[in-house]
Amino acid sequence: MTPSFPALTIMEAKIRQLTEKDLERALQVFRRSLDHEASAYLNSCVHCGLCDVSCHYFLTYHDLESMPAYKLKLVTDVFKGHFSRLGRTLPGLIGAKKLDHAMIRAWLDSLFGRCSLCGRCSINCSIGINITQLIRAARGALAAIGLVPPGLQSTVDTAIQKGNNMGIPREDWLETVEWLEEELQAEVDDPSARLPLDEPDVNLFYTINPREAMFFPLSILAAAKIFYAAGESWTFSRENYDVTNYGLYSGDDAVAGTLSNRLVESMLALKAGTLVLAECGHGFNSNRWEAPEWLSKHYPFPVKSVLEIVADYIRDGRIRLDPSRNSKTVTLHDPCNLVRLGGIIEEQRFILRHAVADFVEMTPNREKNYCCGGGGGQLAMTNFAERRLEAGRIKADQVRATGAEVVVTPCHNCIDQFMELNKHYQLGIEIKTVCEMVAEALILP
Amino acid sequence: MTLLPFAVLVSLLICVATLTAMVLRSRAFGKRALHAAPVATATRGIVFAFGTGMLPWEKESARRHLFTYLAGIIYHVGVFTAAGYVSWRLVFGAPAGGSALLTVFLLPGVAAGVFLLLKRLFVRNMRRLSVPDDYISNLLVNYLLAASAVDAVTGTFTPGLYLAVILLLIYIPLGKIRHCVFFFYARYLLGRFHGRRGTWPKPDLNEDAS
Repeated sequence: MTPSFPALTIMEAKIRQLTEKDLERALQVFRRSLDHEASAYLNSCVHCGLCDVSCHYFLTYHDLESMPAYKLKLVTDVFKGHFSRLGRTLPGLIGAKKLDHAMIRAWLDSLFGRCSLCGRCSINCSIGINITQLIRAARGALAAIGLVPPGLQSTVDTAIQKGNNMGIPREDWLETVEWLEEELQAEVDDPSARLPLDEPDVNLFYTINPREAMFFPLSILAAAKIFYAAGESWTFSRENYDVTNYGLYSGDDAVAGTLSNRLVESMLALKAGTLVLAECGHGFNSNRWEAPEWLSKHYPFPVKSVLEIVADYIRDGRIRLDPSRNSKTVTLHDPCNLVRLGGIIEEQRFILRHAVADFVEMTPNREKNYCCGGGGGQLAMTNFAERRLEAGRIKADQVRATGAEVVVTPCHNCIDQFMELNKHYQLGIEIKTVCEMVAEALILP
Repeated sequence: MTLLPFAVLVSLLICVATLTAMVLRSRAFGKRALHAAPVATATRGIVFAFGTGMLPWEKESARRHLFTYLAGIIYHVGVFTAAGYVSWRLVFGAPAGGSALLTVFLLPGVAAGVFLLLKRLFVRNMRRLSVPDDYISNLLVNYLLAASAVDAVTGTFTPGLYLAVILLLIYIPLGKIRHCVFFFYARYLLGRFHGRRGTWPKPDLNEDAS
């Protein structure tokens, strides 16, 4: 049998092998993930279809499968088919369905392959359904039967097995820190400047996206330079420095909790004051908002984005900036997990207004901004890469309309997507983090 | 009390009891305590969700589907008018006069309902998204609005009106019109979600702090 969805070809063998027992296990996991909130949402959709224009996939393809209401319907149909008396009695009336092989294919194609969990549909829903939450719950059911698309699953597995999602060996990390420390000392002309490791009793415990260590070490250097200029007491961990958490995207709460708990344990061991999350959208949402729920515990320390810290430095006069050093026209992309789902909305703007000479907003912006297409684990799921790039056209057009030469975004997933969009749509832009712009404008003491 | 008004009351009781059972069943899925420290009060987010957050300038989907959005509002104004009219009729009997004025709200409501039905039938994605419940719900409400309008003008269509009410009340828990309860539940929850996270409403810019 030919798969209904070409992008799923590499997963078709696994789908065919699914037994009734597997499907039952997926259902159990799905059921366990539902609480009264999810149940309320699952009873609420009126199929008005107004959400369609809020989704960058729908705006690209204009097809049913990309409509948020349809993606939600795939989940509600199964909910009604298995957990609603009416759905079991009169399935045809309300469209209740069983979780079978065909539905699994549809879930994989739409819930993994046409959704970046950006949450834009939720704020645009006529009713107010948190569609993202429900799609993630369904992803969790697929994760329980080994049906997370391979690229995403391997990212999760690497993080679990190696301690970070890039599989960076400990020695390499320590060498990178050592090298960056020398760079910092040279740059600030101070041999006592440091990138501390496992320093106890500091104010800030700083985390990074491992992509920074592998491909963008200058963004680590930028943050270190800012901390140096502010006279901050801070530290990295030798072991647990990875801010990312792809369990958020695979939907596997247990794995996600395990990954986030590593940072909690290091925080407690080092008795640091604040857990500071690097410029990583999903890392922020995971560790600031979701992890306390995955772990069912109140954190005994504050969790902040590095943007909040830097904004405070500027407000408190701990660092001084010269915006003329960033003279090109700069625009800002709002990462969905940091802004719409994370609540960090104005800090980056406040910082950029002090760090760059010419700042222009995209339209729309802030919590209404379009997803760049890189979220939801899309960058890791190579089988959906074509869609990701096509759906990124919305963002490319948004950037073009600003006339900006530099796109700043406080998220490394977004940066990766922008690098590809830059090439694919020939945008001719530079892509930077907020800290890189600040470091450039920094007036050293 | 004659048979039809009595049947309306029985239907109402059944409807309320079933919806209550559904809400309780929904709550039985379990409430999870929230552990992440909020940055703002949930209340402000909830107020925003039920207020400004539903207006076209805040909600892009409403703005870009303005005609459908307005049709939805007109439709619901019609529904509330019909509900008020039927309640009056049941409690106080036929209005002494002036009830024909209600058609100002009821007839546009019917027109909006028909528009929404046609959109569902003729827009391909909407048709493929729809299930029988979507059509039944629409037709039942359209029938209620039309029956209310006819009765408000003639005063003689009361049996037809009561029949519409009975059918609708019995059907509400079965289909998507249950959103008459779950809408408030869902919107409250989304408002709380974004309120705690500081996304709704947008924070004030405080340049003075610099």
